[in-house]
Amino acid sequence: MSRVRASWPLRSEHSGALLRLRRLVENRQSFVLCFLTYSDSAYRATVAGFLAELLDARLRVAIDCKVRVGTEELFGRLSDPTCAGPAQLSGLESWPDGLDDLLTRLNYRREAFAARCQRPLLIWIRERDLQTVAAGAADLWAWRSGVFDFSLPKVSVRANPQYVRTVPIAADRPARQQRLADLQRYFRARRSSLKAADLDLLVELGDLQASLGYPEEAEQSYAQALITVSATDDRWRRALVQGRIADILVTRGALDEALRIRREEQIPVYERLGDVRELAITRGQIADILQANGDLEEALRIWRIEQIPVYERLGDVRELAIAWSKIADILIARGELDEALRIRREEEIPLYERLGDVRELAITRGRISDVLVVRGDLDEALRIQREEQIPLYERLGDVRSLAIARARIADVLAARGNLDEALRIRREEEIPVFERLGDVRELAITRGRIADILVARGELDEALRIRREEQIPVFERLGDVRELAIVRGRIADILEARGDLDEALRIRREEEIPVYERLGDVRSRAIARGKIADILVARGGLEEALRIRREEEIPVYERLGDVWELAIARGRIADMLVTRGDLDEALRIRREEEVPAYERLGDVRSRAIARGKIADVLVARGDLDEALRIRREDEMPVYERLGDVRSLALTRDKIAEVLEARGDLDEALRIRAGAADDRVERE
Amino acid sequence: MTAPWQPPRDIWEVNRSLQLDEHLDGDRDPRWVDTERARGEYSLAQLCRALGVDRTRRRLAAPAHGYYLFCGHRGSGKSTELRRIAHELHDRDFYYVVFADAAQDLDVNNLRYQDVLLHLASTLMRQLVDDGIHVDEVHLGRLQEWFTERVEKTTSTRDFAVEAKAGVGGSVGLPFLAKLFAQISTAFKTNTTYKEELRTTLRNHFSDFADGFNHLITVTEDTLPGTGKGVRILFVIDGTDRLGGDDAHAFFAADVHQLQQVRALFVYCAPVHLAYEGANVGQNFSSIFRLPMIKLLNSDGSLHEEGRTAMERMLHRRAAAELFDAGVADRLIEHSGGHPRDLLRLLLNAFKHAEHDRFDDASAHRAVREMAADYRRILNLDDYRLLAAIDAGQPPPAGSERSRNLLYNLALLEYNEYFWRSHPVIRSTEEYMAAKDSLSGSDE
Repeated sequence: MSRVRASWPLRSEHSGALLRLRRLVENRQSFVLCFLTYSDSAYRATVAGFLAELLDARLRVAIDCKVRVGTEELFGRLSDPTCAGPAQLSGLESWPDGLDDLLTRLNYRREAFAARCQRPLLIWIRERDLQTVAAGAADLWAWRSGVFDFSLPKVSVRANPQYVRTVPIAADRPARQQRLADLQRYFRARRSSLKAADLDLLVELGDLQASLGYPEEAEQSYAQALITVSATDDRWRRALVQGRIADILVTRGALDEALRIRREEQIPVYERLGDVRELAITRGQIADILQANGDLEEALRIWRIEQIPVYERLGDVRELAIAWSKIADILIARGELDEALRIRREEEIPLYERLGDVRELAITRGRISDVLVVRGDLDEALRIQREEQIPLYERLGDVRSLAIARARIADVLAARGNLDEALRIRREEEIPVFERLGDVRELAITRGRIADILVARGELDEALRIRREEQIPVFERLGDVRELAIVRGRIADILEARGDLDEALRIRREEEIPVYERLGDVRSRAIARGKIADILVARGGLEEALRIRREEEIPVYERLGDVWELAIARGRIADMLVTRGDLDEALRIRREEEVPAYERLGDVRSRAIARGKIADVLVARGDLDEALRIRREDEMPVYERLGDVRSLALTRDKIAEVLEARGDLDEALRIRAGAADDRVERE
Repeated sequence: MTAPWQPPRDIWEVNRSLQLDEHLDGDRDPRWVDTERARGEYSLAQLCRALGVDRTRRRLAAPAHGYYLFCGHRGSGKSTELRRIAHELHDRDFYYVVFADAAQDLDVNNLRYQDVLLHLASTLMRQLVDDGIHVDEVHLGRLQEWFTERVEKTTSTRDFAVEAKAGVGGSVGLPFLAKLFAQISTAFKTNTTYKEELRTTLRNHFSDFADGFNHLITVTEDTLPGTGKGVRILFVIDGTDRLGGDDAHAFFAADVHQLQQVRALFVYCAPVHLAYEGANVGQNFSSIFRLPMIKLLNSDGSLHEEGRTAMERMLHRRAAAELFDAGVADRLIEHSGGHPRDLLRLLLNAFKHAEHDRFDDASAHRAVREMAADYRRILNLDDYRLLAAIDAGQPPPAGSERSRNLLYNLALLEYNEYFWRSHPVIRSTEEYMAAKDSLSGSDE
């Protein structure tokens, strides 16, 4: 939404006139008289040029004050048979004998005019001369099929076409809150007397509310904006406001309605306005929804067939790079990591190099390393981050991005089980930067990540202290209700791990879930409900837990098309079924629903874990050979490739258990000894 | 048997077939709707009576000569009605009608009677040739002589005369002269080299021409009864309503004696405001016939059913009834004020605003708003005040230029019984409402 728009050259308040004009003259090959008013000749030239393309109105006749011609010759030029489509006539005020003379002639000769000019005729006339036309050429005026206003407001702003502000929003939250308060005060005072000029402010208000976590209020603001804009002729802005409503619906999970708005309200308008860029952007948003719905094929088709060619034709290198990036994202989601990597390396990187955009280059390299992480190629991922990404941020002097890049390195190290180094980076390389920048929000988030590592190391008390004393107060001060809910959920996680199930349950029910409900965040609510189910399992409430998973969680993810969370929730259901002794159904879920989902997502780690759980079930059922094969062939190689020593050690222990159960004690002993050595080495 | 007329059933087809520059060829066009009763007291009978036509007994008692004006608002259906009159009266028992459209056939810029009359002479001759009505060559001598003496022998037009004679080939008699005069008439319109010289020649020697033309008319009227093509000649001229300002004044008032040099029966088309121009026009013409708006409401505000029905028929011959949501056709008709072209314009506006493939309520509202915006561009506050006053029943100031202008630009519509009302779309504007409020305020 923040991207520059340059290809649609009209001001949005003229979009209604343009749509009507197009509707009127399209497919007409007879005389249709249209007056197009203007007040600024430079803008008129811009619109005329655009109409030449959009309506095929390439025959453009301009009256020259130095060249005296008769009306016959004028009609002849306007009926040039070598040009199809509507004709544009301009420069009436330059007629050598004056506008009045021309109007009298045209009025007297209107039959000849119509007979000669068998095509739609678009006559450009200065806004202030229109009354002269109506009076001086009343008979010709009586034949008009429409007056289309392309005049500018009294104060000319032609150099800077206005659009609804699309990057409103100050990065810093207090500034946004201040602006929000100002706008709310303004609208409280105006309540019942909104004017067209208030429209952009209403959209800005909605944007602020959305960015600050008040989606319901944002939707109300957009709805008010829609009412206001619908009373004007500004169809472009109306489509834009509808797009904002669709954005809100997307975050709320009402994807069908969002899709309908994009397809039925926005797309037709942009198509008929000839706004190819907005059209492409909206199609991209449709693709995003389809992707979220799991319809990756259609999303991919849109990006490849409808987006890439448009941006190539427009020569819009930046949008092209973004489109390629979206394609790569989808391919990653489909597990086509090699092709995704190729796109990142061969399409995106060269485009950003052409743009000389060092920052985007650094970001894209970070994304390449992300793919390598998913593929388990952690060494190369680390190398790229350290050698290709970090130096670029250093060159830019962008300490903030630098800190975030280092955070990613810490993520990789944590994933490999190298918790100490991850912790060091967080404490020594991230925290000081955010402290220096005074970025209290990032500081609180980083402290939360430190708490995550401490939890993984079993240091629950310190993790709890950080959550309560260093995160909660900050987000309270910032008024960031969403982050507050997330942190409270993490506190509940710790309490649950410590066995304080009642307090964990209370937090989920009273402090976490109500916030997500207020925010309309159905996804986060479903996840939190899932965690309540986990607690219920621990307290023996297996049936209620199963009901929550099946009736409250699964439908939400299905509606959202969230394949990942769906796989996780199904895995949890399988866990419960194992506890209940329903091994066959558990095995079926793992094999038919969970594992294929991770395979499709290209998530090798989750697949390995799920395969490990299948092996657990097989052991319980006495199918030791198959369990051993899975451990050795499906689990071990993945953890080795990921460098995940912790999981590797756990898997070896489990292999040893199977060998012991089979009576293969020597081999079991050898493996246990190896695992112990690894542990010592790691420690 | 021809199939009944099928109006477009697709909204896009409605748009493609709507031509605001088109006038219907009277009752020959399947889209034509009889509006005689719809216009209130108006009836073709008045004109027929003046021309001595007794349709019941099929008898003609035509005056020796007469000059009639046929007035009406722009777009009210004058051209269509004139064509219908021409068709109806062109009859073996009535008239041999010679129809001309000045706007189509001539250059109306600085148009004079001489131009029109020469064109009518040319048209009459061509029509006689086409109808196989023989006029002996001896009767054409005067017109032939006029051409030889005044065109061929005049230095500035000699070359034109040579070219014209070469162009008509080997014809003789009436066909020759018909083609020759057709060339002069065409030159009036398009020949940039000789146009002004020919017009000057004609004006300077008009009496000679008029004498020749009068003779041709007399001899033709003597011949006609035996041909079964009519009894007398009637010239019907459309397009002269286009004349504005000085040209209109010259044509309909100052130069009218030139018209009267040709002694025949003429019906000339004229704009409605001319009827209120002053005494001159009324004195110069035998009678002025007004074509009023189609009346949707009577002067007392009651519904005029025939008017509404006619407008509805008109609308549904341009767009099938099933394309309209409930109430939409009524809205468009109501806001047309009984003005046929404005009804079509509202339909076109509604098409432009329709977001789907039907005429819905929103599109009708916007159509009205768009037309109101056109009026906003041309009216000022005093205009609104006068319109509100007339609507409130106050008598319009006699002969005021403002009211004539309002009639001219269709802000004020004239209905039969000669009552006036503002155009209904104007009544939807804030400016009109404010004027109306201030009027009622001052009444109190």
